[in-house]
Amino acid sequence: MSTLNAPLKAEFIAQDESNYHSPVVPRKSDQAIPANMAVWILIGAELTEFALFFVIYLVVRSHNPEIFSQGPERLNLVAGTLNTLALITSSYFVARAISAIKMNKPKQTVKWLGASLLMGASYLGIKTWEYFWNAQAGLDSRTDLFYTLYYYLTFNHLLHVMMGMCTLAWVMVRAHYNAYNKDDYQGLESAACYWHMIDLAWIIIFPLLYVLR
Amino acid sequence: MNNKSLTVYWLVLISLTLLSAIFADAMAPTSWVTVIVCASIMVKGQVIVDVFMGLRDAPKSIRYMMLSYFYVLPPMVGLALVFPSTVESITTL
Repeated sequence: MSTLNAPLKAEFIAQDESNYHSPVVPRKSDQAIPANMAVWILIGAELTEFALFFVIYLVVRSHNPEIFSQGPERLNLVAGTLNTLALITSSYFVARAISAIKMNKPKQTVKWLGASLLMGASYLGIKTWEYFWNAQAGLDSRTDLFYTLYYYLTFNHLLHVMMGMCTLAWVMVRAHYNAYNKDDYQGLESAACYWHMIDLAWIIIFPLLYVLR
Repeated sequence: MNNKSLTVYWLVLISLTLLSAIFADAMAPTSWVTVIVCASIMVKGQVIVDVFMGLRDAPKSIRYMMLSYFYVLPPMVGLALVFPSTVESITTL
């Protein structure tokens, strides 16, 4: 029995040794994920939360079509559009910050992160103006169901923007002190992905509340 | 992704946003406007996920998780707005 198996065994050992010495080619599924897994779990949870609010909005809207067709007409479309432009631009600036650190240019990274924070601050300013504008027009969270959901969605998103800005400010300080370089920028990338997630939520909120009647 | 490409995609996103605002301001709320706006949400989502987040070459599981959000939600929004009575009948206890 052992005589019969001997050639097979020798072949197996030869194959095993050749595999041992061959270079390891990573499969596509083995590629490193951007940032880290914890951030993706957080992003998944946050997007699920927003998705639930969108479903609730659609269900409530289907039961109150008149209120929800008139609601967007009374909102400040200019403020909503400017907020969208501010968030998209800030996402672009964050993408440039990542691009800069990949080229090992931490000073440029700090510059782009600062510009992104400025856009985030613009968002906060415009949103504050919009809420005052609504108040002057006699609109608040108790006006009707549309405004209840409008305030809930936009204020919830506003809190996420503030949290994202704190995160960006933190990684900007760290980048200023050369904590990141082209080989190690996972923390910066995590903050960037979270910031992009905030942008992703807004690009659904904007048309849902301001555009689609 | 080089910086020039990033800038081009940023301009695409800005253009789509302004287009949506013009639709909201100038056009009557028809089904076609809803379809176009929902399609623009899908394009914007894909650009941010693939280009800004840099997931184009990331593992499929994460990329598809993010993209599925924009392949599922905007069509769902569009259908709910075009057929509100169906949503109402489904969700009435």
